[in-house]
Amino acid sequence: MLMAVVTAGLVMAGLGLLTSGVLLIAARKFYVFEDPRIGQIDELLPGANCGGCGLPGCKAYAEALVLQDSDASCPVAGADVMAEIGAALGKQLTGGIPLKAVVMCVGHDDVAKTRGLYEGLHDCRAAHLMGCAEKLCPNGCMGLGTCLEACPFDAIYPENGVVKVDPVKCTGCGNCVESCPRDLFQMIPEGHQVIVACNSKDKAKAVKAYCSVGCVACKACVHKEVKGKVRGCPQDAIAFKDNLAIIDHDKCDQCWECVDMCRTKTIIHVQEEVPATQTAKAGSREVEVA
Amino acid sequence: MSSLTFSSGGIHPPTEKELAPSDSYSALPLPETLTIPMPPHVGAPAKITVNKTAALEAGDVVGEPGGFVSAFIHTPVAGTVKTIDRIVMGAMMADAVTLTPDKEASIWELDRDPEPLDLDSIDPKEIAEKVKAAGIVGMGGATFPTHVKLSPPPDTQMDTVIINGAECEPYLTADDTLMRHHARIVVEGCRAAMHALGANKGYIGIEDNKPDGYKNVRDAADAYANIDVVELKAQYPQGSEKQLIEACTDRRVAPGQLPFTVGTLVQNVATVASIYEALVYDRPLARRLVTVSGRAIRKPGNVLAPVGASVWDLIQHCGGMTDEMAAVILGGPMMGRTTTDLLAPITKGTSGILLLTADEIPLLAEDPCLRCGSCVTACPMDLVPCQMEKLVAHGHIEEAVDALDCVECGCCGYICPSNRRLVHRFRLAKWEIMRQRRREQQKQKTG
Repeated sequence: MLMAVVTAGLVMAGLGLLTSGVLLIAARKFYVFEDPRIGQIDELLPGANCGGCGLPGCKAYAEALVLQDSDASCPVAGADVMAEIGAALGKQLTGGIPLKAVVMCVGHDDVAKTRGLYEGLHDCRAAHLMGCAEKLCPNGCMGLGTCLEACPFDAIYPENGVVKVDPVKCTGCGNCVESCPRDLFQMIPEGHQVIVACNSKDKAKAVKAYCSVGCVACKACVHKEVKGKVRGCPQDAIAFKDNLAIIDHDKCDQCWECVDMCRTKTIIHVQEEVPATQTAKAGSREVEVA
Repeated sequence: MSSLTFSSGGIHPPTEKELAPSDSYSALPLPETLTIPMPPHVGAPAKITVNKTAALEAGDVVGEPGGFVSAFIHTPVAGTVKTIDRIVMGAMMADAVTLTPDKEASIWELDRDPEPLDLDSIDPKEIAEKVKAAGIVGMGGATFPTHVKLSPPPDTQMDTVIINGAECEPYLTADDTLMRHHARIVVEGCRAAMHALGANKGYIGIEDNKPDGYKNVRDAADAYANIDVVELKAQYPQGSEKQLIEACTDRRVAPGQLPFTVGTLVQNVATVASIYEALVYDRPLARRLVTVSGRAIRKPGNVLAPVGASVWDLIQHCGGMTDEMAAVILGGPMMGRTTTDLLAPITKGTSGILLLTADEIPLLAEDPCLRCGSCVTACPMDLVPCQMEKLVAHGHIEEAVDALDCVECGCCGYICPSNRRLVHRFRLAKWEIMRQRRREQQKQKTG
């Protein structure tokens, strides 16, 4: 009896030694060197695999940084994380200007005219192909939410017929820009709050026919001097192209004069559009930026 | 000879053609204004060439082609330009000329007793030029410029012209009306198209549910040995280009290829009638026969209407609509599109205006796919619609590349017992795949 136990024990121990020996040889023989910095950087990165850097996931981005000596910046990670990554790599990485997505449409259900019942697929691209969903405007947000699926950070939410971006959750990855069939998303520098919330390139008469908050190109916001007095944007940051106001965010100093000036309420202050529960957080963030 | 047809798929929806019979048609009294759009649908939209308050004669050019795949736009009647505007047309905005017709103006009538063409005196190249100048586009609905079709790549040998008189869409009888009353124009137009391409064989394919149209065209074509009038089985989509080629000539166009690869040109009957008019009278394409039908219109019928008349003008001419009206469709019920704008103008491609009741166009909720395979049997392009539909519905659009071969005929959606929105998903897939391809090309160009 004792003999059997001892034999079994010896056999198991022998097998264990043998296989560990094989594993040891295999580990030496088939060893692949991976720069330890790749794993280190991968852990520092946000890990959302959003593709905002243009590469398929955070690991690929870490590899590009280490192996290909890339200077591409992660749009999601903040400046502090980029500095940490730079320290690990022994070089200066500042990262790009942090961006936020904004929706260039505020054609809510109560201001945009509708044209009939839409019974097709619940997908903006499909509705765009058929002309429109229920709203008449051929350039505005249809509110069917194809961008909701594209956003990896759950930062887009529908409200009153159009989608909105939560500036706290938005990381600036830019996935929404490609998802929208009408190119309604724009990436603007973080901290900037004033946008022209319209995408209609039609003339005033056509715009008025389908939406009361559409840009009618009255050009009241354009910088000009009348009888020695400055009218319109004091920074000369607003230009017009295709009957639509465009804000140059490099020049804009957030004086918000255009917001008060805009008669159709097309130029808006993004923060005011944030739901009440998030205003406090967003507000504190704004102070940080300022 | 028994009726010919294509080999795979197809459906038999109720034809409903008795609602708007083809035995007579009426001309639309000229409305107070005509809004002539520069249609944005195919190729580049035309550019407006007239100024405000310009006085125009019937047939004057109001828009010139904006590119190679684009066509001239003419005014159907004499009148004065009232405004130049942008109007909403389906998915896009389009420039449009609004015209006030002169008081005594009227649209051209269709010729009932046309002269036979003397082909020896006509240079084949001249035909394509005249067709271009007359702004002729495919009148079956796709509005593809005809002069482009008449100018195939230089090294192709075109030997066959097929004239599409199938009119397989339910409700529509406009082509049947044309063939029944103006068969000789159709036949002469067919000869002109054959002459332009140097083709030695012509077919005119007509479904067997149009006995009068078939008989009249056959009588008119009797004098010409090289034109066969083919009786086709009434089956949808008999009038689809590739299906029609197979039914008439037994040739098969490979997936992703155009008919010229098998030496064949397909033209609608109304298009060739316009070719004849352009050659003989130098008349541009600016008016057409439109079927106004459905159970929600009081007096259904066929109307000869100028391009630019609004849907509302035609509805009023046909006695107005009843309270049961649930949807207005431009084109046929299978491939047409609903419109919500009754002031939308009719274009060269508007073959019908259908006012349907809720019984005719029920809104049914989508149920899960039963995997019954009905759509696979019905698909005339030998695709597997249920599989492609699942890929699209679950977000794998890039894998549904087969959708690029879909002709959007709607057989699968018609037959589906679960009311799946199959065609809409395939349209989405086609659009998204092409969009991604364009993006990749752009990326390659830039870096």
